[in-house]
Amino acid sequence: MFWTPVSPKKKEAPEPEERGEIANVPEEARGGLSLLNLLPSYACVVSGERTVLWANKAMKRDMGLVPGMRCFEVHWLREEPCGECPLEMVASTGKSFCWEQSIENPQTGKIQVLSQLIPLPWGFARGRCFLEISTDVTLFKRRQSQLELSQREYKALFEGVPCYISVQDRDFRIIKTNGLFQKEFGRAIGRKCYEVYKGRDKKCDPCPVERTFVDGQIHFSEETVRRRSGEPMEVVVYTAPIKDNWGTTYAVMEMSTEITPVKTLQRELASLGQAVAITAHSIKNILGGLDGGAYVVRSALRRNDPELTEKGLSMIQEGVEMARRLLQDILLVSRHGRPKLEDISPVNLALEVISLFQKRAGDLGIELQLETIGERNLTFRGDHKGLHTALANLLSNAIDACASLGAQGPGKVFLRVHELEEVVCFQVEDNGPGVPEEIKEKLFREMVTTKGNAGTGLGLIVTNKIVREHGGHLRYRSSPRGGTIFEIMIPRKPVFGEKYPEQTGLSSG
Amino acid sequence: MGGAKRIMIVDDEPSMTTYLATLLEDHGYEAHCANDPEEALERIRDLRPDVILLDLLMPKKSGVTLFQKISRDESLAHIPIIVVTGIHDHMIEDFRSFFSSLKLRRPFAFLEKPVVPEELLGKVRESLAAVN
Repeated sequence: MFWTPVSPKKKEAPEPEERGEIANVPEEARGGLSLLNLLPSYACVVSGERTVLWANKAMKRDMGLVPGMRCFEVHWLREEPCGECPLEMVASTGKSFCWEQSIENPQTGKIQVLSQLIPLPWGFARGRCFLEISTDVTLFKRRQSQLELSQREYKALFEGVPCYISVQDRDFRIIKTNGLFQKEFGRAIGRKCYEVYKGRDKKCDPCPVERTFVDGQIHFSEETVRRRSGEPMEVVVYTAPIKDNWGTTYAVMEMSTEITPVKTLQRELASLGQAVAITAHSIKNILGGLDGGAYVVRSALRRNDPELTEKGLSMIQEGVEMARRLLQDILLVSRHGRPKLEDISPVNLALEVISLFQKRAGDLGIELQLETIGERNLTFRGDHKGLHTALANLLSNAIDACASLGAQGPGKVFLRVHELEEVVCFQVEDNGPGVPEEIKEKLFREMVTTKGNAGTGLGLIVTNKIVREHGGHLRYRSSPRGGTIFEIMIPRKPVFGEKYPEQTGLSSG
Repeated sequence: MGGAKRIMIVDDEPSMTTYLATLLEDHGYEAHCANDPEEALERIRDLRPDVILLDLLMPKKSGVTLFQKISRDESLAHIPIIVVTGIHDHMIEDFRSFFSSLKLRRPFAFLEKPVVPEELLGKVRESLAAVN
């Protein structure tokens, strides 16, 4: 934009002081004003009437200044003084004043300047004078507004990303968090990250934040953290360095994304894979049994041995029975949808299940006992049929384990009901031989069977699925009596959707 | 059955021992069965079988323990043992490497259930030939 200065008061022959010539300036001020010509800023001397008495070279060059113009004409193309003009205030207080204003530069258009109005100690011909020095801060202001925009963008990103973000110092102390973090983990500023995320009293090992502090690189890991509600959450964690101007990492940003649903799906897929492998194995066993039975029958007929024929037919019958059980288990494992809820009395449920096994246990000389702890007998919401199956599976396993004790008996099986405030706990303990050493590690991960042809191997998968559908846990541990304790924990308030992640399909306690 | 070779079958599943015994008897062997691994050792000491067919996963005592007991008994150590097991495919390698790490002795053969009759009979023949 090109601007031609207008002067409402053009004079034929301006007075020397109005021409802004240095000759009109008092002797003592000349040296100082000459120096102002060297400045890249705009400098001018104005009179009390706002007439520009003198202007430096930069101002003359950029503003196209005609001496004698009023300052408001030069700066704003106005005909009247500006409303916010500090001149009178400076004149009355005698103190300089600094302010920001935008002025018209005929060469470049509107520019932003930082101005200082200073009362001069000496007067020009027409009394008191003022020195106005204005520095172009347009570029600085542009940078500042870019910085502000970046800050807003950064804040929007920091607050808007679907991640829990915390910034930690070298002592693992949290110095900044985003809103999502605060919602899930509460107020954490000043607390140690391991304390907030995991409820620990010392740092994790390995710690991705520490690794980033050491090598200044981005690291990632998968962790199980704890919400402020106490509920566990599986997260993938990225740690990135925050460096100072010298490249030293002074803080580390930790970004965590929840992957609980992904991990749950992963476990379900793994469990499905296991179930398929187990089913194939069971079918192989069934076919082997049927094959063997058919062979025995054929051989018995050749030998004319009715007893052996009977044995062969029993083998075939066993195979058919096992196929039926396998089919039932497959249907249970593949069942979808939420469990059908009803009010269940934990003690009554335990009594029902235990009564099913009394005869079998008695025939095998195994002592079967129900113990209740808590004596509340409050009902809880659950799927009666499902939990009945789950408990029956565990009880059946325990009796089988004791049955193998033989002369080392007598076998003892306890079904315990612990009624706690938040959860109902069913415990099945046996004094059987425990889990065979050579398969201990894999038994619960792979759900293998020790029952040869008798078990489908799906029993624990079925039980685990039912328990997890109730938001509960299935755990096992060695019993002090030498056998095994299986424990089902069901929350009194139904929790669905796999809110409780587990390390594997079934966890050992 | 004067000259018939004696085969001891140790498996906790009666249907399996019935099947294997019938199969072996049909092929001229004298089959003896033990469903209880604890009794099996005594029976083996009494019978001195020519070959032992041994299951690995049995509830009372594992086949591995029985295998080691037989191996440590000098009077039985010469009897070839054929492992016949129904363990899962993914665990078979673990057992194979376990047995190959043994210094004292190793099973003569390792067969998976369901048993293929020809394969079993072949291994029994081979084991007898190896001893003789």
